[in-house]
Amino acid sequence: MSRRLLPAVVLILVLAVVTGALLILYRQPQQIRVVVYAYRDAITGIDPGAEDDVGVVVLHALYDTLLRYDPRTGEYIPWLAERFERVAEDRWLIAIRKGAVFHDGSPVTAEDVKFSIERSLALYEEGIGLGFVWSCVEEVEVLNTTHLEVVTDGPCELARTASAAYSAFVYSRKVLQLSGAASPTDRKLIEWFNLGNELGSGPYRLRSYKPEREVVLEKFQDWWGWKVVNNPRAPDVVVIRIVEDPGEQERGLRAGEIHIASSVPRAVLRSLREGGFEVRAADTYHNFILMFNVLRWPTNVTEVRRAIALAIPWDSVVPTCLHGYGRVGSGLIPYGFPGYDPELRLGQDLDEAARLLAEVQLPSGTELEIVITSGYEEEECFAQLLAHELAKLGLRLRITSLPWDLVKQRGAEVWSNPEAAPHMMVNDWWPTYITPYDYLSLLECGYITWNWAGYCNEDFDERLWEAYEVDLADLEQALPLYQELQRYVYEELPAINLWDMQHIYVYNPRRVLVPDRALNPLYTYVVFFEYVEVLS
Amino acid sequence: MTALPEALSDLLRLMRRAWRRPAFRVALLLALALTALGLLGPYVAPYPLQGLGVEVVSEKSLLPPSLEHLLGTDAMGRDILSRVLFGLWRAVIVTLLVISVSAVLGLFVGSAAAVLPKPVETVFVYTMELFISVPSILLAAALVATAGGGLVPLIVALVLTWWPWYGRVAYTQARAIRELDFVNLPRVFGLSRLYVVRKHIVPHVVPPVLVEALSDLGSVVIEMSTITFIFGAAQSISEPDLGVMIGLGLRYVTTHPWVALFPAIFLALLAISFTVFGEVLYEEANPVLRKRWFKWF
Amino acid sequence: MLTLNYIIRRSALSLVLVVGVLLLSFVLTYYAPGDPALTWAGRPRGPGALEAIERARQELGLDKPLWYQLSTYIGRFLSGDWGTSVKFKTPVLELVLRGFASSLELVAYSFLVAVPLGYLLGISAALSRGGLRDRVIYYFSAAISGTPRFITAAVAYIALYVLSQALGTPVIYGRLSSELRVGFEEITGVITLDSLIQGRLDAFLDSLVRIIPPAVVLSTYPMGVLARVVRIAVAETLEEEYVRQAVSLGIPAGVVMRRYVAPSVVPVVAQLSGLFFSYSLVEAMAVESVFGREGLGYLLIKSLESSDYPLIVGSIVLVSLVFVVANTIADVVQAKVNPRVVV
Repeated sequence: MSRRLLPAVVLILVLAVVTGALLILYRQPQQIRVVVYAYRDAITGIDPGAEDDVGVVVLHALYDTLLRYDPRTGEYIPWLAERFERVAEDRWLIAIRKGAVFHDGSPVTAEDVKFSIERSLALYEEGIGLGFVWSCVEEVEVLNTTHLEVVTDGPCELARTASAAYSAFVYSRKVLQLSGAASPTDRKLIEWFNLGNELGSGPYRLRSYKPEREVVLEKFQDWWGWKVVNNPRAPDVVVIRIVEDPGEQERGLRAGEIHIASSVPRAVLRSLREGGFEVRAADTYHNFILMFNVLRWPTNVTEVRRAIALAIPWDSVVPTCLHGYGRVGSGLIPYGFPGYDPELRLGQDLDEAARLLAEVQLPSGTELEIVITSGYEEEECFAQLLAHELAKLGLRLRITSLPWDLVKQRGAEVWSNPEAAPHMMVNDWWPTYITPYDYLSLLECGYITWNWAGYCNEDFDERLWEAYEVDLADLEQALPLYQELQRYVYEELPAINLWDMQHIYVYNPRRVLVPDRALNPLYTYVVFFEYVEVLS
Repeated sequence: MTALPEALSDLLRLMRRAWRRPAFRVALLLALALTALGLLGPYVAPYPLQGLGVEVVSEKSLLPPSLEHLLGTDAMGRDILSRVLFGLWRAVIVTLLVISVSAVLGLFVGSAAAVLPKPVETVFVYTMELFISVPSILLAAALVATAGGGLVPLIVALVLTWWPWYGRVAYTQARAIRELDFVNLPRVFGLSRLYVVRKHIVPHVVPPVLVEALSDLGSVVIEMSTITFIFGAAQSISEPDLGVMIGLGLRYVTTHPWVALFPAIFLALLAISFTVFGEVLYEEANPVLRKRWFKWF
Repeated sequence: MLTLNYIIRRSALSLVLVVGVLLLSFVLTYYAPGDPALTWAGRPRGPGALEAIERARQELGLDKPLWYQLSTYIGRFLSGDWGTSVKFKTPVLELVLRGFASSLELVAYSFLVAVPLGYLLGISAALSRGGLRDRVIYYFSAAISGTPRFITAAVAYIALYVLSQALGTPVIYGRLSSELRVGFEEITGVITLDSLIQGRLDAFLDSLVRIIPPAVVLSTYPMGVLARVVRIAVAETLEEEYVRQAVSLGIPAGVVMRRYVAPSVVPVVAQLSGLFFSYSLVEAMAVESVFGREGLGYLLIKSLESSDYPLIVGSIVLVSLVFVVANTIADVVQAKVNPRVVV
């Protein structure tokens, strides 16, 4: 072929392909509604009774809880339970919705609810999961296939529990036989769930499960709720894609590959808004708690912890690292949550910090290690700010940034080898359900999974359980007890709340609509896809 | 070693020949300017502490270029000009280090392979072939995973993957001349192998290796920055590294392009000037048709 | 000269190299600082760590004598058991093959662009030797091949993004659009191929459009270098006696190029392409991460974050094996095509 002709032919071919491609892409009618939700941590597991971490993002689509709670209005919404009432001081009657079925077609029965509740409790007894929410339950009595009664140990606000974000899901007792497990607490069952299996009654079923990359859900046509929710434009397929880097989330969003992004760099929010994206700041109970290693020198010295706490540039943390989308922390409990105490705020005081360090004669040049989660730009920013301030006090800060699952591992290390565990870690926390106990439980002795401070104080634990007992019956009465505990933490400083964070969801309103009902501060990072509307 | 002055004069002659080409002139001057800038950088940077990553000025984050900050500031308020200067310094030092260590290592192993007994020779040649087959970035990854982040694993990985190329060149050259009489005669007279290597082999091997090394400068810059760009988060987020800066700057590229743009410009100029310098030098030293690939089998 | 003898010898060498690569990975695993079981398990800590380390110890067979460990290690690899990824909790071989397929797809397309264009640019430059066209082509190729690929990729990505915003066309990001991915089966891992196999023209075109820009970016190095090498090779060949004679004898230009010049130049192109392949595979990782494509680069980043040693070692073994095979093939082709090769 003539040399001159070849490049021309190649060019024409390329142009033809590209034009054809673009034409075809435009003419494609959208037959199925797909929504891609970008979330920043790999899914840690989807066992509805055992999961205590980010798996909840997937769980609320696969499973139903008996009730849902909206802290913004204070109302309990009947969900899987049609009726949920207190019939005596220690007795609750639950009626399961008619027509509710599991993903395999079998009806949801009272036996299944009993199974789910009892399993949560049994797992918690073995140290797994957050089944403590059901602690006041003494017995579950099945009346018939659709009704059951729960007997509690003294008066107990069971509705609070039944609408919890964790461990309150209802699933089929058939899972025992499907997984080949010998008993409800058999680890085999947990493994079965975490391999990508489910048997729930929720609006979506699990189509594929790659916890590191993406979880794909498809619409469950026979869900009881479609008539109630009345959303004909709900997605048929939901892809929960794990994108750890906020920059990547933003690019995917702009490229149209991601429809709802949960963590984009805050610096680009204005440009996104100008570009026609909807930027929704949602209030949450999500806070970031700095935990000190109280078993390792020098953070085992209270004065040192206090000095570091006073070195934090409290006034610039929220404007700089959160760009204003949050609030400075005051006490372990976040703003808006029962038990919040506004008097526990700290201010920066470098002179006092220097004085404290001098008092305990901490040598200048001491190196401290902090572990944060990679990709959490707010933590990266905070660590660098802290390093700068600590340098003024003559302390060196080494910043180690790891993916979330590795951060958890290093945190738990404080119990086996405190000298190797870092001096400080940032633990971001969100509620299981509406109880102040949740946030203070971080400091319970022996709570290996989440107590990264290595804090072990018997007196504290006793008083905490006391407060919780009162709380179960009547939250109001327990508040003063919780307040005392908060003050205690404020003095001892094993941990300190850096900030309460707003969540920023960004989406393209021409493609997808995320109504208020789809987000709820109690269910952190959960998007209720049954309310999401897909437009194009 | 008397080899060195001879090799250097050969090199200078080569460069004078290359100087005739305008591309070479531009590239060499630019390369020298950037190298000088890199070496002097830390001393002329307006905000040295910010450059190193120790100081952070959170209120001034993401500012566009101004009189105070000639290239603007990054996400943590650090002066980009200072960061780029420190980054340039790092790039230049690492490149020079990697090339010189690899060249010396390759030179010795290659020459030794040619004069040592057959089994040793086979082992050396085999090792060279082996390391040529291993991609640098993956080796760097393995080393970083075991030794942790930082500059040392990166340098070691680059040296390990680069030296065999020089080893091969040295070996082929050495092999070609080892049979020659003026090499064998001294042996016959009982002079030690080492002496023979030093006096007779090395002078002939150094020039081609030197030319190879110089022409590879650009590739090392590119490979090093590609590795740090990809590894990004595994390295420290506050240390000044051009690849990491570009990677992190990409987060804000649609709204604050200067954060990634300026490090990218400097890196590109460094890479291009080194590459062109190297390639012209190589072309002058080795006309294409007589390329030595044939001799490798 | 290509003889059976040569092919056998070359293949034998590559087999020995393969064993060498496995040995190297063995060394990396066992002699990395610290406890090899700890490294293999991905340095776990906290609850479950001890079990994970025990399991790694058994997998590596650390309590047995060295020769036994070595042979089990090599045997394991040859039988296809490359360990389980610490991060992804799936078999390493599967992960690495999938990642490799994606990166290979990109490299293949980049070669489709680089080789013809580089060749043509080089010839074009050589024919106008010393003229404006020659100089423009020279500087252009020097600039594009000298710039680090990830920078070119970032620039291209931004340019395309701005263009798509202005024209309203979809942005080039990722391998396949999210909508089309639903219901798509990955058979070979090469999406452009898989879409044709499944008969999905929409997916084929979409993936093709998404692969062309990164492929062009990746091709800048081979294209730039080829252009300049071909330029010199052609120019010098044209100076040769026998070519000048042919021209003076009135043989048409086309024939001169094909019969006289090409045979000197093609072997050079072939040999260079072999070298480029390895280099491009590494650069593909950077280009992938800019364009959001999943491949070896993605696996590498994830494995580094989690100290996923089995995955890193598995990637090293696979890529090295590919290099060995590629170099062997390149050498054999070189021997066939170039009569001057002395074996």
